[in-house]
Amino acid sequence: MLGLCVVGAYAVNNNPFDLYLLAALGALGFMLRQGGFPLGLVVLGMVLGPLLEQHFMVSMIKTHWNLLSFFERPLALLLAFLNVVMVVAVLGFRRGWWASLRLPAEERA
Amino acid sequence: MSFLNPEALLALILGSLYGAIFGAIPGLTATLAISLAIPILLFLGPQVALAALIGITATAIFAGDIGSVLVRMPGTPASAAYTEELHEVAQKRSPAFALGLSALPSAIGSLIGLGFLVVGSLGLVALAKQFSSFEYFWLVLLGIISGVLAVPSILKGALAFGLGMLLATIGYDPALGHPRFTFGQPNLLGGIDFIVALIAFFGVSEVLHHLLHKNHPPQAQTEGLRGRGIFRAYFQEAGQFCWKERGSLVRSSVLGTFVGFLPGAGSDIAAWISSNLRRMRGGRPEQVALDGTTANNAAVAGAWIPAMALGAARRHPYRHPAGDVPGFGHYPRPRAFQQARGLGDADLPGLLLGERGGDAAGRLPERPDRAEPAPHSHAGADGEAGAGAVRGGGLCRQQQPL
Repeated sequence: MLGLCVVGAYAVNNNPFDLYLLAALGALGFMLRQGGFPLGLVVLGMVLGPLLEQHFMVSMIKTHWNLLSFFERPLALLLAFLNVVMVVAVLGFRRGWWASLRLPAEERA
Repeated sequence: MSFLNPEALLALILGSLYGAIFGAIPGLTATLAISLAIPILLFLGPQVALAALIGITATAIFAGDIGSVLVRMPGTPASAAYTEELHEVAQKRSPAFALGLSALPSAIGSLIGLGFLVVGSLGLVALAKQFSSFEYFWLVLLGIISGVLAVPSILKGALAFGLGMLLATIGYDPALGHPRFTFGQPNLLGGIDFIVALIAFFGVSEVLHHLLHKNHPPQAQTEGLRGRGIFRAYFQEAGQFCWKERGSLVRSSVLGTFVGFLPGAGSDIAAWISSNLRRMRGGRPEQVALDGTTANNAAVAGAWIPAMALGAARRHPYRHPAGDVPGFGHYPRPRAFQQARGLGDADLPGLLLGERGGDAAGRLPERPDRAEPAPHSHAGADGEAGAGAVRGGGLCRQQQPL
């Protein structure tokens, strides 16, 4: 399996440097995992982080740093509203039946 | 009708087989199957690669149930939610019935999810044409919020996400082109490749994990897998049960598609939510397993909606346009559908075929000669397969929301 990983990582860019990166990130991932951190979210951050930055910067350059422009288009307003709803709803859920997801985790610990 | 080209069909079939094997072996997840296949798929062109990817995802999630039925060990994290129940069914009635119970709702769940994919992505394409950088900003934020809030510990989730974002800042800044955190290393100018990170995080750390926690695989449960009765149990009894539970099939499918649709959530979260909802209403083991397996397969189709229509996991085009799990050389946003009509054609029927492949692959372990799904494989212990927790009794939480 380790062999497959090495071949796979090398084949993406044909760059030997990626192999050092593979070892370093693998060790990092292992440590995070031992600490109970969700690795999927690290990858999510790597993927969505630059997208967030890019869209933010493009918007800001377009409007000369007018932060209110994020609320001026109807669709943007709708999506902003969805974001708020999402936070409120999920936090509300987590107090209720979502707790059943966490309970067994605590039993394990 | 580009999806009918023989190369894509072959890729679909091979992908399904590969996905079924990876899915059935505990510890090897659908994500890992994809990340190991990507270096090969990158060179095959978008249609063939997507066909293979669809085959892999569609069957790997389903095949995770095979391990649950036979050795009480989920093959993928997505099956961990209802492993206990499914295995109980296998012991009380017969493994064939349990396999049928997982295969039929899986197929139905993904077909319903597929319907949403067809309708939903058309709607999203119309919507996506209205999207400018402001809307994208909010959409990406939505994905981030749902991802971070969906894990058991929000604090750890937020820290992990922040770390990922920090790693992604290495290299040229996407808007202005300044090099950041490169420490004078020309190799770091291009940033850390997302695929390399994916392989490192899920592949290498998995290997290290197994080195530390050695586990003995439990005995496979293969009794009752002989004779002609299995066909009756597989098709007729399980089919009747599904018909009786058709209401919850539809409900779990809708729920699963919706959860899968959110970037950052995935089939394992869908399975947890769906089967937990049933458990809380006092469902029998059969019902819990049915709800879970329907939802996790529907979520697979649901997950393709944002991937196809919006390219939620896109990378910067100047870096490595093909180096992206859902992207594969097709650019997201409306352009994806304008430029690559043929691609859209390849995907939707491809997913449909993938599901049928999943159903067919599910029958394999039923034959006595193939009854044991890799008995020598490492146990996915208390890692993401969550088998340790399952053996400990009761539920276990999902560890990886990807």
